[in-house]
Amino acid sequence: MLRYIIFAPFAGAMINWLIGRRVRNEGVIGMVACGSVGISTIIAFYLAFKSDGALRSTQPIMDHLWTWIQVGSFRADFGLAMDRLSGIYALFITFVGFLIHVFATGYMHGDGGYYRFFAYLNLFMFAMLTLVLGDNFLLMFVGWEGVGLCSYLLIGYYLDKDEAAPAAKKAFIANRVGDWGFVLGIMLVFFLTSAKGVASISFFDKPALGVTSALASIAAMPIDGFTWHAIFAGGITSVAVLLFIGATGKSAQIPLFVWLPDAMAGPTPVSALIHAATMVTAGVYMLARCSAIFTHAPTAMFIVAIIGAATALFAATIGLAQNDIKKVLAYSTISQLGYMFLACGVGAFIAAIFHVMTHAFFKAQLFLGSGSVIHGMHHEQDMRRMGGLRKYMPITWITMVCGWLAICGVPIWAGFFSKDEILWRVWSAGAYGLPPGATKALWFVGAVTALLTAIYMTRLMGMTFWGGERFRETDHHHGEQHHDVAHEPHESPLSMTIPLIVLAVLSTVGGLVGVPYAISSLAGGHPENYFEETLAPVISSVPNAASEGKAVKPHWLSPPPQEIDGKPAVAPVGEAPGSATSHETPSPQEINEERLLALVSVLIALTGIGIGWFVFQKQPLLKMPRLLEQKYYIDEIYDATIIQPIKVGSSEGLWKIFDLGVIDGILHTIGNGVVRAGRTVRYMQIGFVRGYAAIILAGALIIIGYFAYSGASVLRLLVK
Amino acid sequence: MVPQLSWYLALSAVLFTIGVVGVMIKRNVISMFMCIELMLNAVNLTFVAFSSFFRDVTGQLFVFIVMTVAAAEAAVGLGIIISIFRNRESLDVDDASTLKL
Amino acid sequence: MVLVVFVIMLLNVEEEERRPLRLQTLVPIAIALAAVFFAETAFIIFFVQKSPATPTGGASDVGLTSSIGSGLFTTYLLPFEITSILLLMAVVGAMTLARRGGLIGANIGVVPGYQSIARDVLEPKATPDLSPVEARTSREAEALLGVSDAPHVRKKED
Repeated sequence: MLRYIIFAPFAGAMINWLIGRRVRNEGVIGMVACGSVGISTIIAFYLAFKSDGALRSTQPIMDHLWTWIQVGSFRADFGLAMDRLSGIYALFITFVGFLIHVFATGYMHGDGGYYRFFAYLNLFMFAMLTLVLGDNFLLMFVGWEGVGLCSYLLIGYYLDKDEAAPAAKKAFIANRVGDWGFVLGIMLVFFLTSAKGVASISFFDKPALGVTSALASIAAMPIDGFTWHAIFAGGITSVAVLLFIGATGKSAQIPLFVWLPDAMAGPTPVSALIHAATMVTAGVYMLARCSAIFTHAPTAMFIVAIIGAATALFAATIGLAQNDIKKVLAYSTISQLGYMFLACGVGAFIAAIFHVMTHAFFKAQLFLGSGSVIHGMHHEQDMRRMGGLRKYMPITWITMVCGWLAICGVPIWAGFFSKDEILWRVWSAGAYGLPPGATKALWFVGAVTALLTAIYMTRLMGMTFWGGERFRETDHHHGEQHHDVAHEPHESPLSMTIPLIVLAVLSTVGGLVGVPYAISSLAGGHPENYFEETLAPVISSVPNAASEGKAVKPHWLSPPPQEIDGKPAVAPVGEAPGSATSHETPSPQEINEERLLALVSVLIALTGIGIGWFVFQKQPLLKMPRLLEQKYYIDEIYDATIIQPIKVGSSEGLWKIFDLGVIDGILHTIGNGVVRAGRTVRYMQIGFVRGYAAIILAGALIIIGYFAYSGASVLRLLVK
Repeated sequence: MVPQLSWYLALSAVLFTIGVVGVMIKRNVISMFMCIELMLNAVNLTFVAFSSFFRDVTGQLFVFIVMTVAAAEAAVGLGIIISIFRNRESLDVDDASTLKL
Repeated sequence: MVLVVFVIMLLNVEEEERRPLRLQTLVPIAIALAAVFFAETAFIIFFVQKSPATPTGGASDVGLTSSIGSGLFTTYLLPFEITSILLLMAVVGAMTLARRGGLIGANIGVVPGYQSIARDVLEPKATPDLSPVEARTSREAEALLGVSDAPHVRKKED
């Protein structure tokens, strides 16, 4: 059953790829594409929520397709598994993916490469679901590479755009750098487990096939020390750092984040699907999947947290100064991903996954909303030429307001719960083996980032939907073509607005599945954090967190969770607080602290919105610092320090000296030698019969001479 | 003086050598042909000589077979010569130095 | 040998004109190789003479027709038969090769070499001139007779 989740989009991709060009009917192509993803969505929901489904039992659903590699006791299968973690991922990937497919049928209307676009999108779904549902590292890597490839194809989709091809290459190369780390990490996992006894790269125990979980055997190892040497020691910390390098590539963290902003050269649904909702969260998925490895490597955890916090702050400041609506959202994505890694780094994997999920909703919503704006503005992306659009595109405006409030962290909206959860976990992470002062500093960085997020998102909304209608102004720099064209913005068609509405609803209420105890008890609601309950059994917590050890025991309580996706979680009412709890309640002191922090984050969000509102309402075109507008000159720095040396080294050293001198030299010597030898030997084959006769005679003489000589020596022996 | 085996062998060696040199030096294709015949007959002489020397009839049998083969070779070879001559107007082997007609 | 003589007669080769000698280097090579060959042969003969081999067969039957016949039809039957097949193939092959490739219509063809052709063959409208037309080569004769599109000629011109 599980296999149909991944192969339905694959089939859709193949159909569109092979016969889409002939069909030439947008309706059929769109139907195939959306239908195949719809099938996966339905199957994913069924498998997750059926009575013994992935989210309702502690046993993962397995689907063994075929044996891929078997060498001795080591084996890697083409097997799929849906446990609670991959189940949640599969749910929001298929569902958000489905909505984005529907949106794209409207957005891409009239495009020449319609069939190609949907073939790529479906192929991407296939790769992403393989990544998530693969039951071992190797299969995960297949999906990992697959999404990289699809990302390349989709970013470079506009063949006639000058910036698309370099952006696609940039994305691919940056991802390759990360993949290098990932591959090495997988190899190191193999060596670590084989040193332990049985080599394995599987995520799960599969007794029927004699496979033991690599994660379990690593979890049984002692925890690495918190030292810098551990990074290079080849132990668990090295594995974790290498895997994290892979994650920085895919999830656009420092230093490999540069590809994501450029990736906005692709069509907007692509930006929404790949570069906001799903693909970039693969890194977080990998970290959460390998939580057993990371919790054993405190050094790596610290690095993850630092990188995450730095990326969050860094990208947020850049996002403050961008004028392209998609670039702002791109940097916002990087910043939010930084948040998720910050959470992973302090051991709050569940909070990170929660944020991944809510982020998928509201970021997909914001991207699709921006796509709708771009569509309505006749492919204008510069916010300086927008303004006052709320009159023209009311649905887009309202839905984007939901996304905006969600990302800013206003209560009730989804982003509030996940962001607040992360900030609280960072604040209280002292017990997770991190230096105590560091966590407070990290929290501060997170809080500043939250403030900046609220400011730049408010700026985006203000520049786009409020203020003067700047799109009427004649743009002298932009050429003649805009003068005569009636440049009136218009609302998008239904196929685009319906996904917007659904995602807006999800951005609004999607966070309610993970309401922390401290807040739900405040409201007198159901005291359980469903999200945490669901994921706790599959995420290993930091082992030395004895005081926080409440989540260690895998347990599952009777009421099945009202899951996200499609059926928005309804905040359960009517149950007395604490009535159905069988687990330890946090201490009152912690609850108070958490409530206080939640209040602080609400204040931060409101302050940010306020600052943004007052500053940019007055001066929507306020010139931002040049350093920020130029993205800290990161691209230029990379160009000067890495790309140019490689280019110069390749052209001057490798090409002119090594290739032309050594390789070509060897080949030319061999070639010339053969030619010269041939020129000499050629005289044997001149075509004159008499020459051939002479050659035959010479050969015969040699043979006769040999036999005569040997025969004579025999005879001489006989004679004597 | 009774002829000895080595006399026959020497004669056949001389004949064979003449044939060999003729094949290589003569340019007329019919002359070459006759040189080849000469070589074959030199070998035949050797056969007969050994047959007589060893008192074994096998050598003579082979002479028969060689003569037959020589006849076949002459028939085919002369056919080829006629065909070449018809196309090239020449009996010089050096004119037939390309593989095409 | 008889065949050879016949063919020489058939071909009526004209006087061989002096041609520049090619492959002059082959002459010393041939002589050197012949010398080597002769030396090897002499060497072999010398050792054969010194060998202690003695006559093996019975003295009586060598040279008898009956012994040759029985040998051919018993021990060496297979080579004998193979030779017969070879001869057959040679006959067929020689016929195929020597057949005129350029048959046009029934039996029209050109005799190789120098020839003279009656003028009224070339010009059927009877002319008083009865002197023969001379063709120095068969190619000229073909051109005169208008059979130059014979297949082997066409091939040659390719």
